[in-house]
Amino acid sequence: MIEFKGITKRFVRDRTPIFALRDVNLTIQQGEIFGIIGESGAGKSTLLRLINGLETPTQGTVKVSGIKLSDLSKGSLRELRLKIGMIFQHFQLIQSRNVSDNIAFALKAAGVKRSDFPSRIKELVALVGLEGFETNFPSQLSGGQKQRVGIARALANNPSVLLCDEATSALDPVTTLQILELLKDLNERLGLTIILITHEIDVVKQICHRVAVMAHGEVVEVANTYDIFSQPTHDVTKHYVDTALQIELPERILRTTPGKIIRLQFTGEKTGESTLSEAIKQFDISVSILHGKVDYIQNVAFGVLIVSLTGPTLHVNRALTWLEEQLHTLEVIQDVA
Amino acid sequence: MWLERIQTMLPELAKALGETALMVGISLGFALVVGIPLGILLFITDRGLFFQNVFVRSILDFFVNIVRSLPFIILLVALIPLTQLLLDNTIGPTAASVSLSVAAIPFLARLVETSLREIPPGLIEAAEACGATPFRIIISALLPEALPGIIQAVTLTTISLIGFSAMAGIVGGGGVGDLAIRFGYYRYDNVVMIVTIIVLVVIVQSIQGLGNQLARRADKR
Repeated sequence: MIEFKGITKRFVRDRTPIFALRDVNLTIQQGEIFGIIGESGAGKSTLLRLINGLETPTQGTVKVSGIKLSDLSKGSLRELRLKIGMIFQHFQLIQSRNVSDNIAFALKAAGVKRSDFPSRIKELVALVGLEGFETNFPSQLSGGQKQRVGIARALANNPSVLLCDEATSALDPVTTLQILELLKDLNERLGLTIILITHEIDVVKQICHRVAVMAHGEVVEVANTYDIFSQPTHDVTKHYVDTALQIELPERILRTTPGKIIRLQFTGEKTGESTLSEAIKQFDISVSILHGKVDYIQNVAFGVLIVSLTGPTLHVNRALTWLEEQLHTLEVIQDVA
Repeated sequence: MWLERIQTMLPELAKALGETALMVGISLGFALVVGIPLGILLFITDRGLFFQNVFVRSILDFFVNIVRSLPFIILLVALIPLTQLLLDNTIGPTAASVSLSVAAIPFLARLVETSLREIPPGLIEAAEACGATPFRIIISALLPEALPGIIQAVTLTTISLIGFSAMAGIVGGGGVGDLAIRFGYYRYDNVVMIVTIIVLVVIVQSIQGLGNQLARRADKR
């Protein structure tokens, strides 16, 4: 659906070249919710803008539905943009126009007949759940409502792709969830391909099917959201996952707890507790849970437990080997005999 | 005694008001028709915008600056040959309107450009992302957003034109300002001076008040 090949983007600022993107290769499938996560300055915003031609690459090609963007004339690029909606962190609504007229802007851009405006606007307003606010001006709306107007405007011409530029970063947590739910719903109901950039791993966790992690203009990791959480490989990714899970043991606890302290990760059907209780029975050791968390990513359970194992060394070691076989991911944090 | 003087000056005052209205009206008309598009052009040809054109932009910028750097009284005299060429006449309120228009166009253009500059760049980007043509972006996004600022700009231009038109007496343009100079200054006729001052203050205040009100009504932020 969307294909980046060998993309490099170079800016020149104060006579020194800055690489916003370095050799990016990425393919985004039709119908998926694809997340791009990274710190500000990682290049994700530039990458997103390549898709609708708001930015052009210094090197490499961008293809949307098989069409090479660099081959398009200005007019054809505008036509393509009708089919690629975009929403923004700060909504970017026309302040001097009410909700209906803001949506109408996109219809005018597409040359839709004026007589078709009312019915189409009515549909769109209903789609984003803004009935009754048609004549309100943006300044009279909350952040979440403004973003809904942004979504309605972006969807006005039945696009197949929606680009989200930090679409929830200016919203409070509750509103963020509502907007993400709406996006998820649109993805499922309309088969809309959604590409969102964010610096919040929670957003990725909530709705993304796949995610690309960016750092310093490079895509350092691409994987299913679940795999990103369960098997992060790059340091940047690990950092994001740790922040999201918020699992860290206080130093004092580490120092004063006897035995082997291990970090177990369990995924899917195999829950940590049942495996642990089996280990206790089989190897005659005692286990105390120091920290733990179970999270659901794409409706699959994902958990981390930090436990200390105490007992005869031989037993503990055997238990450890067995647990490692059972769970695959196990890490010894501290080993005090 | 001064009441009688006011009475006798009324026809004179009415004529002067008519001349001022004619000069300001004509030049404001040209300013609106030429100055607003010029202001838009100055804005959209700037770097990073959808009509970026360094060449056009620097030429326009240069001419606007030249006109703006001349005091109006000098422009008025310097443009006498142009007025002669255009109207075959260099005297009277219509003739003065030529120089007034030339002064007003870049004045308003610069103010329009400034009010467009207050629009967040992100909004223009969003309009482009919608697939809108440059014309559509200007008509349906830029102008509505800048309308309060443009109304203020037109108000300011009108008031400045009233001020400029006081100098039109030099080329026989007449007007309220000229009346004040001829009677109040050259003939020490204080009554005429005071009356014209009052009339001018009232006119300017009303225009500013009207402008403010219209701008406030247009402002939905």
